[in-house]
Formats: sequence, C-alpha cells, structure tokens
Amino acid sequence: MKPDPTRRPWPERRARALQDTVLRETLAGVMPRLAAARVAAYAQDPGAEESRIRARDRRREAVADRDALLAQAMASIEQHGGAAARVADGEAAARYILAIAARRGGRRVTKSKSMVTEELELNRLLEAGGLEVRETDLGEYIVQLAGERPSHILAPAIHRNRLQVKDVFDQQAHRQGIPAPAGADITELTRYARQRLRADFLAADIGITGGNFVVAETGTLVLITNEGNADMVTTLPPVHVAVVGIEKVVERFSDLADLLPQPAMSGVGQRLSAYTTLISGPRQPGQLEGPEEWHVLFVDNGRSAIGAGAFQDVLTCIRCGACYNVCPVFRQVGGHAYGSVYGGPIGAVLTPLLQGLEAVPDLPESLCTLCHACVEACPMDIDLPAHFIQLRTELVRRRLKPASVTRTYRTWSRLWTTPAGYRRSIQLARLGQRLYLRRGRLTGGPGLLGGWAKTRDMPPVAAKTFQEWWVTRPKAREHDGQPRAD
Amino acid sequence: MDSQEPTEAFAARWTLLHGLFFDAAQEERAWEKAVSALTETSRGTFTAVLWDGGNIPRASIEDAVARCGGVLVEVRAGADGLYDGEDRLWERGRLRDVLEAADLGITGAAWAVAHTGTVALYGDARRGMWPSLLPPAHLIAVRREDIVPGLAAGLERLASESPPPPEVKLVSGPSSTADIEGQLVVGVHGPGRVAVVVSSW
Repeated sequence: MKPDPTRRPWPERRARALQDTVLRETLAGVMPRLAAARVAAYAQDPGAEESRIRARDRRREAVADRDALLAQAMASIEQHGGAAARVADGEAAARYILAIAARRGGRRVTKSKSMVTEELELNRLLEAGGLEVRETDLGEYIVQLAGERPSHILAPAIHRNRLQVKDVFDQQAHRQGIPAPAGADITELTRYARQRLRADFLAADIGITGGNFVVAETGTLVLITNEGNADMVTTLPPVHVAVVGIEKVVERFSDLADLLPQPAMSGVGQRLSAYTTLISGPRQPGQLEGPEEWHVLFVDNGRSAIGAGAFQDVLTCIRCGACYNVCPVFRQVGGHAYGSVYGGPIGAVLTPLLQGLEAVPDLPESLCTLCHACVEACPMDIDLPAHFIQLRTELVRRRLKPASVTRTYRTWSRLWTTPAGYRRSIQLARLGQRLYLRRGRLTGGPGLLGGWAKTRDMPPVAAKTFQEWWVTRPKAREHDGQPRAD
Repeated sequence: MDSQEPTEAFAARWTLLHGLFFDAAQEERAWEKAVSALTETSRGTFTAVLWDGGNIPRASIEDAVARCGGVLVEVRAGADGLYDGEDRLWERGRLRDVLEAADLGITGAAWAVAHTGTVALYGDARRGMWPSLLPPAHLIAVRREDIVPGLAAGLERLASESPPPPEVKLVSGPSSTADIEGQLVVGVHGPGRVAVVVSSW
C-alpha cells in the first residue's frame, strides 16, 4: 500500500474537521446511536456473546493458518468452475480485470462497496485503463460523484447532510440533462439514486465486489449488504470479480453460523444484515442468472508482512465499524481527518502496518487517547490499545519523533520516577508559572506544554503543596488519647 | 426463539425488520391480504411474476393475484430451460426484462430462521434471485415446517444440498440504507416491501 503524497499534516486535517459543523453534528447524532444499538442487541440475545467468542476463535485460527487455508479456498473455487488468483497489489488486480475487459470487449463496471478496492485505489487504475466504474452503494455513489473518499467503513457519506447530498445529485442531473431530485427529502434522494443506478446495473459488463468471508472448505464467497446492490452486481453482469484480502478466508462452512451475524451485530446492532449472499460458483448449465465468469482475487498488499508477530490479531478484523462508532477521537473529527482509507482505531493501527510507520506516524501518535473503548466494542477482541502503545514505542525507537519531543518526555519521566525529582519539578514549576498565569489559571507553558495548553487550562501549583504542609505541620498532640508503649 | 413457537418467533423478528407477515392458518384470505398490501401503490392493474422450483401453493397465489386485479405471469423450469404458462421457452434477457417491469415478484423459500427473521432463497437452474431483487415488492411463501430455530440449523440444511446452489441469499427484511444522515430508508436497490405468508402444503 503506497503512501499518499497529497496527505496534509495532522494539525491541518484536525482543524478542518473541527470547523466542519455539519460533520460534527451528524457524527454526534449517528455514532452514539449505533454504539447503543450494539449494546442493546447483545442484551436482548442471550446466546450472542458465546457466538461472538466462537466467531473470534474461528477467525484467530484461520488467520494463524492462513497460507494453507488460502490454498484450499483457491482450489475449492476452481473446482466449482470459478477462477482464483493471488495478486500482490492494486496494479496487479487492475491488470487482471483489464485483461478480462479487453478479452470480452466490455468497459462498464458496477461495484458494490469494498474497502479493499478503496485501499488499492482500484477505481482510478481501472479508469486509467479505459473502464467506466460506477459505485452502487448509496454512500459510495455519493462520495464518488463528489470526488471524495469514504469517511466511515459502513456509512461512507456520513460526513454529508441531505442538503449537501442534494447538491451532488443536482450537479450530476445538470451534467446529464436529466431531472434533478424533487426535494432534499432523504426518501426522495434515495429514489433518485435507485433510478440512476438501476440503469447502470442493467448495462454493466463487469461486476466487482469485495467479500466478507471466503470458506476454504467449499470455496463459498460471502457478501453482506443492506441495500441489495451486491446481488445486482453478482447476478446481472456476465462477469463477476470479487476482490478480497488474503486474511478473509475461514476454514469450515459450519463456521458461518457464528460468523455471519458478527458484522451487523457489532456495527449496527442487527442480528443479520438485510442481505447475506453466499456465492459458490458461476452460472450453471440451464441457469439464467449469475455470471458466465466468476473470479476471486486474493489481495496481499502488505498483509503478509503483518504476519506472525504481535500484530497478527489485526488480520482478524471483520470491518464491522464498531470501533469507529465508540471512538471519542473519531466522533469528533470523522474519517477524513485520518488522511487514510481506513480510519477509526483500526485504521490508525492497520494503516501504519500496511504502509510503513514512517508514512503515517501521526496516526498512532495523535489519533488515540488510549481510552480502551475500541477493545471493549471489538467483536474480535483485537487489542488495539496495546497496538497503539507498541507503535508509539516503535516511533521513539526508530527516531520518528522529533528529538526535542523525545528529550522532553525522557526528562519528565526521569524527574517523576523519584520522590526527590518530583518535588524538585514542583518547586521549579512554582517559580516558572508566574509567566503563564491568567486570572488564577495556567494558560500556557514552555516547549511542548505550550502546545498542550492551547486548548486547556490548569490550576496553578499551590503556594504550599500538601506534601510540603505535611512535613512542616505542627505535631502538638501525637498519639492523642493512646496509652504510650513505654 | 426460546419458549415461542418457531412461527411466532419468526413473525416477531421479521415484522421488527419492517417485513409484513401473514399466517394462512390464523387469518382468512392471508394470501390476498399479502398481495394487496404489496401492490397498493400500483395504479390499476399490476403484473406479478411467480418463479419457484415448483413446491409452492400456486392455486392460492393465482387466486389472490386475480382477486386483487393483477395479472400473474408464471415461469417454470423445464428440461432445457425456463418456460411460461404457454410453454414458450424464455431466454435470459426476456426473464430479466419481464422482472424489471413487474410490480411484484413471488417465490418460495428453502428455509427460514426464527431467531434472526431470515428467509433463505436458492438460486440454481430451477429458481432464481431476480424475483426477489428487481421488482419493487416481493412475496415469499414459507412452509411452516421449513422454519428452523437458528441460523446453524438452516446452514446445515444448505450444506446437505448436493450440488450446492451457486447462489444463496439470506433475506432479513426489505432492501434498506441509512447512508444519508443515518436515517433508515427502504427500497434503495431491491424491494422496499416484502411479505411472508406462512402456510402448510
């Protein structure tokens, strides 16, 4: 996964997000609701927690054994008349798909939502190769027309409100000389998208999807949606190409009973999404629906390197979005502020693992408060806070933080790990704080403290601290009322 | 599920997911009520397409569609392809165009899950997905004996199919989205109105 040269520095991205009142209002409304729906869904379903644990264990086993399972999955797919290939990166995936298009002569592509194709920037590569690519998930359609990136793993256009969506549709209608949506009512906007996209579904030459799971034993591809667009994409065009990460393989068909509910349970608090589609092959003799050609591309793009180490559990992620929904940082700044395809807590850990820590040092450094809400919400129990600490340790070890910062923290840590050092630092602070006192509050500080204090006030160090008072307090009536031992 | 009968448990969950539910053993004219509820926005006459593997109470459905003033097109799998009531062979494009223009798709279900409010549809040479996808409404005939308590039992039935259907769709409610401001809207790509009629046949 390549670094993005247009990525702005974190303070700029943060400032832009915090000034976006529409974004912040929408996030403040939707994210707590989704998080509460997850809690309620578990509370109402006595077997759900045990099922989640089983699902987690199946994912962990599968990730640990992923090379063997991937080989088995590929063999199973071929046995059912599909084609399976392993591709290294986005360019390899695009070459594969462009070759199909060249061979068959089609250039219209419909896509259902897939984070891995966002990661690969597949649309850009396919368009450069002469194909027309249409995103068909409503949220993805909106961000595609607006020339943006998705800002949430489940709700890609959550940063826009209805008026801003209407603007995007109005502009498209104007360009194409067709009637614009009748109003900014959400039902009306959805109806407009349904009509536009239905025409695209029927005309498509190639359908591209992601994949939530692939079963090694049977070669079954699982697609989970609420809209039904994946079912259009997989049954109408003559070619279906599924692009999935190599880590999505699970071992047995029977594992699906616990796995299928997990994304919706944790993401939106539903027992199952509206549509769960299991695909085990192309169109059979005598069958009228489905694709003539079925391809499954297994994408590496940096996943093998995450490998066997301390970060292996990151590969068990099912992209449910639960960690986004509960994260206090995400709730304030939204997905675009991460400056990466994957946002939220999982994105801030996964992106440096895929791209290299030097490409995105700000993600583990600045976009986590170590509050642990994510690990509580994660259905796979991915230890994200531990990964943040590990990545921060790496930042220091590999000197990816400015020397002045490392020096400041080192001095602080040295002072505060001994009682004498602590007392000395308090005495110094009392002397120095006069420069920064405004109306009885500390409003600034030297060096790093100055930046920290930009948005925060502190009470000043007391004229006499508790410890100082304790040492010098009058000791008039010691052991009052107690008989003396002597 | 728990203490409830599977049918009751299914009904409770399915209606929570904005699906319509009718029990032919509990209410008079259940099929007609279902067809009527699904087509109330169609002006005047409407077209319903029935396509299933064959194990479906077609007389009840035919009667219900006729009583509601609709035209029923029935397609059935023959030895070498799909035929309509007049024994004409259908090719893929025709099937798609007729379903694209239809007001109502009608299918059976392989099984249904009470705990999740889910209906399983199989796509193979005999039956397909388009009636449940292309028209704005979908009527599903579910045999009472095919309602299983949990997803695991349903998947076991699927695993015993040989050969496995190339496509299986688990439907839990209407096509829906919350992509604009998190507000639920039904009927974004697939049907916005779905009804299950449970019966024995």
